[in-house]
Amino acid sequence: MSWITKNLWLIPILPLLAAALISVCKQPRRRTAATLAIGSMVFSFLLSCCAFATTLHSEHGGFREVANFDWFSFGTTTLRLGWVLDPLTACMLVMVTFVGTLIFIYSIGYMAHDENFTRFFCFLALFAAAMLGILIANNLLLLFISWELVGLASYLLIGFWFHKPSAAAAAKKAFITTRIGDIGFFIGILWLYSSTGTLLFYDNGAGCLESSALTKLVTETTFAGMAVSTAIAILIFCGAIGKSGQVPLHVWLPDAMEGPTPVSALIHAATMVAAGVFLVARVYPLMEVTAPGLPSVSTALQVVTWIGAITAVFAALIAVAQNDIKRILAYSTVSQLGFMMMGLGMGGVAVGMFHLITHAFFKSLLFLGAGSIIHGCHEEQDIRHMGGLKKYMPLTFATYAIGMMALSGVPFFFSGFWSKDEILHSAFTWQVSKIPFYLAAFGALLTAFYMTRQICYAFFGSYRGHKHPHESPRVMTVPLVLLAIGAIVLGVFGTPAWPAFETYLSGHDAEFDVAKLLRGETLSVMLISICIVAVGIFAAWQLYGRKPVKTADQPDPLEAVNGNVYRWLANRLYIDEFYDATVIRLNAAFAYSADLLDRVLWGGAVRAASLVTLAFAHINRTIDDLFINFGFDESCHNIRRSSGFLSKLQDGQIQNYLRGIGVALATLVLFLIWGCR
Amino acid sequence: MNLMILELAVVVLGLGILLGDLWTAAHQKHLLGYAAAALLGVILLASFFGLEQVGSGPAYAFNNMLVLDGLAVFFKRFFLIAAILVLLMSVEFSNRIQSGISEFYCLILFALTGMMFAASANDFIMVFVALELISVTFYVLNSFQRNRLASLEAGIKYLILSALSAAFLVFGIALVFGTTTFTNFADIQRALVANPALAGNGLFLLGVLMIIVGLGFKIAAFPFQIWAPDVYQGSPTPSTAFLAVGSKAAGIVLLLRVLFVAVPAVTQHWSKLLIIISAITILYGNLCAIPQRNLKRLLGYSSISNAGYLLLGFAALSQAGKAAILYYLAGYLFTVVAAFTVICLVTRDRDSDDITVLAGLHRRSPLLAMALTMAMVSLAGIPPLAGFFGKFLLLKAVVEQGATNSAYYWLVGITVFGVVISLYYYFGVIRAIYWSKDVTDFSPITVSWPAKLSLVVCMAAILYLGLLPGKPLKLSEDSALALTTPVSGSKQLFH
Amino acid sequence: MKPVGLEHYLVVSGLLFCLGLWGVIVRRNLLIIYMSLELMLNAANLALVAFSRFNNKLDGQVMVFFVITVAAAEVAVGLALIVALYRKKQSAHVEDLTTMKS
Repeated sequence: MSWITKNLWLIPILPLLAAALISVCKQPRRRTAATLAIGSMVFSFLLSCCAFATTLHSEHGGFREVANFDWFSFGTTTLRLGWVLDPLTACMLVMVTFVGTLIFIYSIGYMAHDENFTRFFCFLALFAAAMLGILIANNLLLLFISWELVGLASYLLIGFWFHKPSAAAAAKKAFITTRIGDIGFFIGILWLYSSTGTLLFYDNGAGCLESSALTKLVTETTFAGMAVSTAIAILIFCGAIGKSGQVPLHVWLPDAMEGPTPVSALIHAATMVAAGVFLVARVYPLMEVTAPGLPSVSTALQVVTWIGAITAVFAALIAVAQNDIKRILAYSTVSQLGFMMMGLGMGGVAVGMFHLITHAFFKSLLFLGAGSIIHGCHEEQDIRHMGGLKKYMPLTFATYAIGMMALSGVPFFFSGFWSKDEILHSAFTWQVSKIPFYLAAFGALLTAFYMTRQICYAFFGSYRGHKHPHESPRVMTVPLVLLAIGAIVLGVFGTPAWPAFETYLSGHDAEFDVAKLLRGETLSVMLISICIVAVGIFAAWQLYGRKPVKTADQPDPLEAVNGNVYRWLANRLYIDEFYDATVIRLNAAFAYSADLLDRVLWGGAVRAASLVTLAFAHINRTIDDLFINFGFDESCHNIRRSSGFLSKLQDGQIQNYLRGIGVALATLVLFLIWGCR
Repeated sequence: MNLMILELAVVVLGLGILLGDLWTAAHQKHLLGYAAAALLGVILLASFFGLEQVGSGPAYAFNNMLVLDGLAVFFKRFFLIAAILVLLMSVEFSNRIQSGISEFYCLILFALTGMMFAASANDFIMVFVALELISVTFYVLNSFQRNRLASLEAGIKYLILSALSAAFLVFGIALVFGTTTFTNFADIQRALVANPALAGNGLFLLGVLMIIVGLGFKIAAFPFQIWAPDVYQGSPTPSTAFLAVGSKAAGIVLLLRVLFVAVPAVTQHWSKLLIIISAITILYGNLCAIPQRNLKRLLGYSSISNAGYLLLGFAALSQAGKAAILYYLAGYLFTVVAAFTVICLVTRDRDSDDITVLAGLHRRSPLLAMALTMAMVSLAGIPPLAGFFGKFLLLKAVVEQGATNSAYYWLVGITVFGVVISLYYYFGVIRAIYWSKDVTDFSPITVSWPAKLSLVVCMAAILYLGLLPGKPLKLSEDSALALTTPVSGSKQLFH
Repeated sequence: MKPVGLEHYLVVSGLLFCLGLWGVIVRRNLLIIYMSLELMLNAANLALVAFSRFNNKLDGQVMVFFVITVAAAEVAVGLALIVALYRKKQSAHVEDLTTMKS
């Protein structure tokens, strides 16, 4: 066992220690708190890099080392905990510590004026520690403990500005909603333990993810002929649904935007939501196992795929109709998590995890960019009150545009293109059904559409706010630049020509082969994907920016924008006005000369399509508010009401108490008579 | 004689405090509490040197009325620790008791004696005497603030309901004695084995049922939980804490002995009853706690739900379940004492126990805020604290029995549901500490060093029991060995 | 005439117990509730003595001594409490004990 495996526990312990130290230091010691938190993260990052380097030396079948130890014994059985170092852990460790460090640094600038600065860093460090604990765990119970700690830390962070009632409510909603998924997860853990007698993932052949346990699980069946492995896998997936905001438990994620922006970046881009995807990847052997003789795609993976596909489209539709810059990103995150789940379900660990890692970079870039915009616009979050920021915040704009293009999947230079392309490719070749492919394609189209819309709103046109916007300080922009570099460079590792990431996870050496790019299927999917992105961006541009499609992959100068559109933006082009504008413009266009007719028809078609999309979005939003939120609130309300009623029974009158006891006694005696028969 | 040396020492200490009161100046009387706590600490230490020499097997005294085995030793130490912490809390409370603070201390010591006898009881006569010693002292402890109507009311309510439970207990004992001709646990067990038809005898079963009712009052299990919220709310805070920890644990140890030593055959047969009572107690406690605004009343309902969790271990009918009960109780001791100590300190200068007194506590005293937060998080069963691990062990014991009866899975489901809704009110308390909107009072709270020490000890214990359960779990398992069900099967007695 | 047997004692004892329980449940005056409680204890005492006599064992009678002693102590404390309450509230009715509610 290498020294790094032995000492892997240091990685989560360092931030934990930092959190403990910060919690005892006095409120005004800002510098100490920030130094402790960032220092611990940097050390963890360096250790993670060592761990990553170790896993690169793969022999046959991939690198995996485990360190297990006895925690305690109940009678004859011993509960063992441990940690594992394999490529999956290592790449996630590097990603989380790297992105985490940048977010910590960024927070110094963003939270500079907050009076609870030290507490914020304490919570951040606690969160990071819990998240790193999830990553290294080699035991489902240890993973669950860290998982719950992540939930607790996110509760504290989302509710950080607790004086806002909405923030306090959002924190509670996030905690309770994820906890609902965790019930399923916990039952799954109990079931797994009672079936296999171990919760260790890997234990020299005796772990619950190794072949002997899996063979046992897959041959046993439970109700309706379902294999026990399938039932447990789906229960564990319930936990992932809650944490990763999949339909129908996604309701907490948009509300959670009430937290400070670095929190949104940390929780909703890089770590907490990724925890669910990571969980599925971690227990992938359990997910994919099928009994011999049955169809090759397991039921559990089909569930994962369908939930992911529905989430991807559903959330993307909603994102189109949002105006809060962070809410758009939140719904976009939900949608992208759906893509990751789809990738896991159809393409395997590498496809889903690759999108997770690239997404972590470009989405935290976008969130931090959004934070920079909000900071620069004096806490304004509504994109209708922004505009023209390109001029005031050039660096933020450049990095934000890179993030947007990566998220939209603009071809060749951006990591998002390659990771999304792999998902589309695996959907295209999936044997079970073609529908997920169409859903994924539609989701990708919408993604390009709403991101372009957002960029147009925020950065083009003229500034529509009141206070003068300013570029953010260096401490905030430097992390943006670093993340932007990551968002571009990472794509190199996942192209079909050089699938380094995939081979790294499976433990082979990657071979560089350009010819693979030109194989029929790969090429056609790539072309489809490029077309989708082009159509999405063009449609949005046609509506919000009205620029020719050829320059969509580079930033546009403000003066190049058509004067007509300029006026639109000045009039705060939001959704309701858009309808008016459509009608007015159509009338005006008919009055113009015949050579405009062509373009108006084309515009009308695009608008009709977008109207349909918007209608869908609104319907979805309504369903969301009416049924899912309502059902949740209603059941909470019912519990409150019944509890109020119950406690009214306890009215302080002894006489009633005594009567209650008399009735109870009579019931017990009846039980006795009935029980004896 | 050797077997009750600890109890005798406690009684002598109580009398000593009463005497010492005569020679102490009025403004120094509250300091006698420190002396009592310190001397109890000495007795606790002595128990580690004296009791281990008892030998490997259990020792008996007074015609087998008293037994000293692993379980008894475990609970004696448990009660001693509880009494020390409660005495330290009482000193903080002394400014709210108009006169007779020394009597308050010595009543705590006498109640402690009753609890320690209960830990050793091996005979129904002993059960009755020990329980009544506890009850009668608590009548006074609960109504000690004679000038407060709420305290008097709490005392009276406790008096009537507890006397009622005592009447049931005595009548039950009479019926069991009449049908078996024995009052000793071991004799009754032998009689049951020798004469299996007894387990179907209606009078005998009615007697056992009434005894369970009498003990159910003490641990506040449904449907005999009904006194708990009022009494918890009205009593002086240290009395409430001792009631929540000591009196409940005394009920638990007696219930363990009666159910698993005296009448194991009946217990096997009544597993369904235990499952139902446990489930309803959990649901009732947690549901009723949600709308509460009074901290002590909230903890009263929380105590009911915890009685339900403890009953899970009974319902499991296994060694693992019994060990889990002991483990859970240990965690519960430190958690509840920490919570009540904080409440006692926070409400020192106010007449209200409303949840709003916690507003801004993290600024007034970070230590108190941290201790209360930890206690609530542990009660809510969130890892890695003691409460999580205790619940985990209890649920594990229940799940292991699932193969015999599918009702156990329902019980697990209901428990998990109860734990989830309990988050709501436990986090309500945490929210009141950190996130209250209109904080008016920022005056720092001074905490004396013994109280600080007691809080730190509680927090350390909560963490220790949650993180390093190896040793304490071994201890609980060893202590639970005293309750091993005899080999002679009991199920075939019925069919 | 049939001699007085164990069952006769038990029936009386059971009736006394139920009477006491009934009194506890329906009466409103604290003193009468308390008396009814004592009645329940004495019903148990009667059963214990009868069982003791018919089983030819002394354990039950020993138990009765304990019960009587403990009941005396309980009454001493209980009456003191009721008197203290009466001084404070000028009432010994259970309906008046409603300081605490949810």
